[in-house]
Amino acid sequence: MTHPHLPPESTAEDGPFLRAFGVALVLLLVAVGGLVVLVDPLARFGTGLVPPVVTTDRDQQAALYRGRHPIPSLAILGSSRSKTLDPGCFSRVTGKPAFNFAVNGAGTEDFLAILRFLRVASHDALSEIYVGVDPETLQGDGGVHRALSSSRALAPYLPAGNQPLPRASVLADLYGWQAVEAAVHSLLFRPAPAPGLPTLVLQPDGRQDYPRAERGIADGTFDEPRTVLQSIPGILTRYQAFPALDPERTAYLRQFVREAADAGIRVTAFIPPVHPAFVRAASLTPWRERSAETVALLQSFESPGQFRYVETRLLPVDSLRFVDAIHFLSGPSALVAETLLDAPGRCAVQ
Amino acid sequence: MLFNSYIFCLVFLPTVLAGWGLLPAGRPRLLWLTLASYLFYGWWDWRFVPLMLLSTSADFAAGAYLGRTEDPRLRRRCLLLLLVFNLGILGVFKYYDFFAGTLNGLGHLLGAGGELPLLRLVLPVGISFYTFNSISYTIDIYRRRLAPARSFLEFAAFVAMFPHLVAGPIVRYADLAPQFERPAARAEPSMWVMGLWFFGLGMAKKVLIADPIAEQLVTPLWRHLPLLDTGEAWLAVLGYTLQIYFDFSGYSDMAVGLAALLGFRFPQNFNSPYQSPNISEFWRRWHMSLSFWLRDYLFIPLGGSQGGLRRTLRNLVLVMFLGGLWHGAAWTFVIWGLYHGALLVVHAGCRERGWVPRSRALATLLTFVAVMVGWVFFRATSLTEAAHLLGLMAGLHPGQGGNLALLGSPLVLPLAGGALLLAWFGRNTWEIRPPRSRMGAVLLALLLVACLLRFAAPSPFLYFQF
Repeated sequence: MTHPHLPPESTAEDGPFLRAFGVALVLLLVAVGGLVVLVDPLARFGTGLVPPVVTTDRDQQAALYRGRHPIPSLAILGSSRSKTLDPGCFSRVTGKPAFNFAVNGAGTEDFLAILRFLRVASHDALSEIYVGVDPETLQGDGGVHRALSSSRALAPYLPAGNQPLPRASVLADLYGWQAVEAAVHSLLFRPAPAPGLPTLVLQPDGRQDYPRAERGIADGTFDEPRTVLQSIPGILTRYQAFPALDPERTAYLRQFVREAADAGIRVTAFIPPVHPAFVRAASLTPWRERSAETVALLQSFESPGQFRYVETRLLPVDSLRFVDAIHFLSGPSALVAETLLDAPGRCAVQ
Repeated sequence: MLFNSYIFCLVFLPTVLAGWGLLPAGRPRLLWLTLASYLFYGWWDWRFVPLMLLSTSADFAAGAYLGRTEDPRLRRRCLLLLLVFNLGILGVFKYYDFFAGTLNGLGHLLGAGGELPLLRLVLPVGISFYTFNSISYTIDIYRRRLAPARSFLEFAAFVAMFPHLVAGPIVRYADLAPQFERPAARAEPSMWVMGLWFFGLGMAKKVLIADPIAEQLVTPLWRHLPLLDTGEAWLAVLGYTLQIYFDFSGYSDMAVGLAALLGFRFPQNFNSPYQSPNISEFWRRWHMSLSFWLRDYLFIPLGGSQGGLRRTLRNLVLVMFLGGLWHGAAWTFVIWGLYHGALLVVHAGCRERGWVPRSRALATLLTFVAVMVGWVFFRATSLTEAAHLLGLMAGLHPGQGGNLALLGSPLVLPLAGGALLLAWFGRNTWEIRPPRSRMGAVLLALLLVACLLRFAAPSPFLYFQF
């Protein structure tokens, strides 16, 4: 044969070389894996020494929901903009045990996965859903939100074709560059714990409160106008690359509506109101068009007894009850709930 | 299962090596290797496994028959039958739809009625490679240059051996038979050092060079072909030229390394091909195991260079045409093969007349550019796309330009520049003596872990599709 082959050389240095290689490889693998497990930046192992870089609220909400007795038959879905809606008010008005399952950074695939989860977890007791469909839930941003695909509770209910790949996903989370980079980032840049009241608190009924902002507003130390204005540019950047509603996410929403109807679940959709300053600032961006398209899409689903759209965008919300340009606090939250339930004065903050 | 995947590096490979080391040499180890290789292959799609087993059984039976039969007529018939069987499988799975589609297109053009149905079969991974392995085995026995395998297990282990199964190098049974017959009782430390060295460097070529160039340079530019200007078109093709070299030679190095970890010696598949001063030498340095296979089993039986210049040139073009078709059932591959055949003819003609550049640097650059142009057909998804890109490269289309902003990262340009210098001036894996110091060992471990961190989105090797 003309092929050159490996030279059959052997030296006394081979043994020490192999031992050094083996030790170095094992140490490196243990070090990298250990760092990722201890820091757990992607919230995969439940061992995090510092807060993860991804939101884990989907699993927290799922755990809270499973722990509710009686099992809630009314659910509030949406993004973080719907998180302050008080399920207690919905219970008082409808007589049904309610739960707020709004999640951070929601896409419409979240609604579909949560609907499927709730139907199973409630043993088909779920009968009513209020869903906050802000236009961003229909924005295409390159696939399913990482927080959803990595959620232990919801990932099994992902729409077909978006199931997380089982192959070596744990190993990928252990040795993937994303995990290692996030672990280092978490360690180097973790925020120092602030004294006093917490910024966010998740209540047992799924509602999210902002104790620090609420207290600040009450005692006049929360500079709400400045906070709102500062938040606007960052939020507006989301609309710079939002040329149209995403067809895939539109299809997920359509599927959500269809599956809810098939299960006899009544759905009320709305678009959470935003701060008036944001409305003015966003008027020059595609926000207005995308909002109008979202309304049109939701109205196209309307069907008596099955699906209705309620206009809440233009409510006279108290502009001093926002934590930033798009997240309202308890005052506007009560107004939105009363509008959705058509029950004026029933949800007022005591 | 990809070499550059967690499941392979952290689960499959350590398990196979541990089993290999613990089992006694001989049949137990071969059985272990065969089972592991079938698992490795079935990981893609278990439906491919029976096909490989059928092909292996048929070739083993034919080899045994050829080994014990003296009648030349019967031997020729047996060989012919085996070739029809092997090429038939390849033809059905790989080429049927291509030819049927072409004939349907022609029929449509000529207004003839009726269409051949398309099978749309999934192409089994690595079928071209293991079919060529098997064919060479049968032909070598027919030529009485090789004794049949002593046992089915030895032959099955040879065909299925996971290091070379899906993308080569195309190993011949004659290369491995002595190693099967005289298995080492325990692994030589030097083979382990070489194995780790080849595997680590090959992995780095693939994961740290080829993949970033593919993701951040080739794919973004190729996606926007209609917008590219002349310079950007050349950059896209240069990126692919580097990608395919570092991808495929990286895979080959890994295969050599994995075989060495099991105590086997594989042939060299790449020998710094972009340093070749002419196209003829390029083909002695690029995918060497395929080049030598085509030479020994096609070019020489056709008469080789024994029948005068004209016949030699005809044989060259025919071999390159079939070599192109081997790569894929598409006209782009056929044109790529014919283009290289034409280059070989032109080179032979020029060499005959003494028209070769005196400067080796100039000759190497000309060869490199000619090879680059050929990759346009190899990468293009259609002849129209290839023609458009060649038009852009020739400055025939205006192009919009300003597309460098599409690159995934500005760092990819220095990476591509470094890779080009490495391909032109660097020594290849076979020429570098592995460092045997402790520091060298630590650096190799670091290199492998750095590669491991990039596995989260594994990308298949380019040659897996063939």
